Amino acid sequence: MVGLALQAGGVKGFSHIATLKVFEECNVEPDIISGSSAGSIVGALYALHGSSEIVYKIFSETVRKFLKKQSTKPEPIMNLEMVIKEALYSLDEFYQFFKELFGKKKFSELKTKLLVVAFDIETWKSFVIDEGYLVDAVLASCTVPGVFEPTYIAGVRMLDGGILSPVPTFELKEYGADTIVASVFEERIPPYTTHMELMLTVDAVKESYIVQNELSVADFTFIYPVNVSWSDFAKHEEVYRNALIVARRVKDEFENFIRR
Amino acid sequence: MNLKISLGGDILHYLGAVGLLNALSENKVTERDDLEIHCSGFSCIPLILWTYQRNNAYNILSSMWDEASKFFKGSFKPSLSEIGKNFLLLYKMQKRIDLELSKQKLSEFVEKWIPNVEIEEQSRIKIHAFNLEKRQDEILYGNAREVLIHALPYPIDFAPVDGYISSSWVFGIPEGDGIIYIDWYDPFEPRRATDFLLMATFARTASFIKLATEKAKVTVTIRLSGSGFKDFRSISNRFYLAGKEFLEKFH
Repeated sequence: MVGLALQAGGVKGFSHIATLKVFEECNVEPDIISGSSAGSIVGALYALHGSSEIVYKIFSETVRKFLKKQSTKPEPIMNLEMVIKEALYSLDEFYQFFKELFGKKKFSELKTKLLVVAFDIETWKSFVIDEGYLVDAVLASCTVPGVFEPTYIAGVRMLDGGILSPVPTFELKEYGADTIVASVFEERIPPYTTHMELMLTVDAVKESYIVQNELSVADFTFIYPVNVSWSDFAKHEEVYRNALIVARRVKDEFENFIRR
Repeated sequence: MNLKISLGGDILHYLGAVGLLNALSENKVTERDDLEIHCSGFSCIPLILWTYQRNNAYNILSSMWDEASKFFKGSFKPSLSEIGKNFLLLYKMQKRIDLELSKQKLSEFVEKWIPNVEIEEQSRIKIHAFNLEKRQDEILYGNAREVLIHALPYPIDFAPVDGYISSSWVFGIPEGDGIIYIDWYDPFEPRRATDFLLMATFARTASFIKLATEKAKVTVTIRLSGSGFKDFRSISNRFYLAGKEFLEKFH
């Protein structure tokens, strides 16, 4: 059983579409996909439509539409709303985005098995969702702490799955995948000039150690060097184009690996 | 068989680890040639004092406690909601990193309390610090004061010293056969955006602690609760009992 784990990472998630494109060019289909945050968006769209081109079309069109609407919000992590509110963006503001992507589609309608990972605020553990409405699961997986308002699944508030499972390989293994392919980004540790930024830098280091641990069970890894902030969705086309170049460079290696 | 004991060190209360060392010493464990004691953050202080000034380590730590609780104020009230308040303050102030000031303050503190001794590479005490530039955990040797100012800084109150911060604020605890740590992560209801950020980063450290304790043969957890944990005597006594518990479980 071939499992594909897609890393969390905002706009960087457009790189995963290049991974899926290479799967298609090699005539290989993942039996199961896991994803956190942006990884869950791409994974869910692929599991629903079965085509990397359609995934790119839907995801990029929806992003463009929402970029037009959303013009006045300042940069996350530099906003005084963080001091008083639960998040910069309320549920109402970003729910529409996911509704547009998935409508009322359910996991039961998917062509490929999908595991969406969120973070359970009560237990401080990753929470795997593989049933119900896609919109609810993916939305829960994408609630970047401090930026998006937490949502509820099974009566519990959830945050971004990338907190503890940025590349959900262990979840695939637990489900029975015996060949694990991961699609990830080169780590970028942000610089710091303030104590707050130092905390975020240390947090990014922690994430890189979690990713390292998750990749220890991956058999093949697509690694994308994306030098773009996770929230810079205006650069989604550039991210995808660059990822295609990187993915095609390792296509032969991947094909040899998967056919062995 | 090697025996590798590891201690956490993310809060000031680890000064009480001198109690643990006394318990190990009573049972001759500290005389074993194959013993290594790994520490990070605040647990490095009692370990250095106990190793180089064993006879008066307890008295020095006891005298240090009040001053240290003011000096390391962000780590003295170990509760997520208290740290959340500091975190919020950092966000509001956008307080800039002052590398020199941090180093100077820490140097003054360690010069007052820590002996001017050398920690040899073959020493059984292993002081961990996290090198942010290389993004790796390192064991430091050399002058004990120099080593400590690299092992102590934690993000809320201090800037990194030469790129080093307390390992305990990244990994929680070094790996070991035996782990002794304080579990102070209290129930926390996040309300503000900064609270969610805080929760996320501590959840990551908690996951590293879980990995380390799963690998360890024996783990002793000290639950931090009640007012008794505000005075040094109670804390070191709690560590002493933890040492006894550790020995019972290990044998």
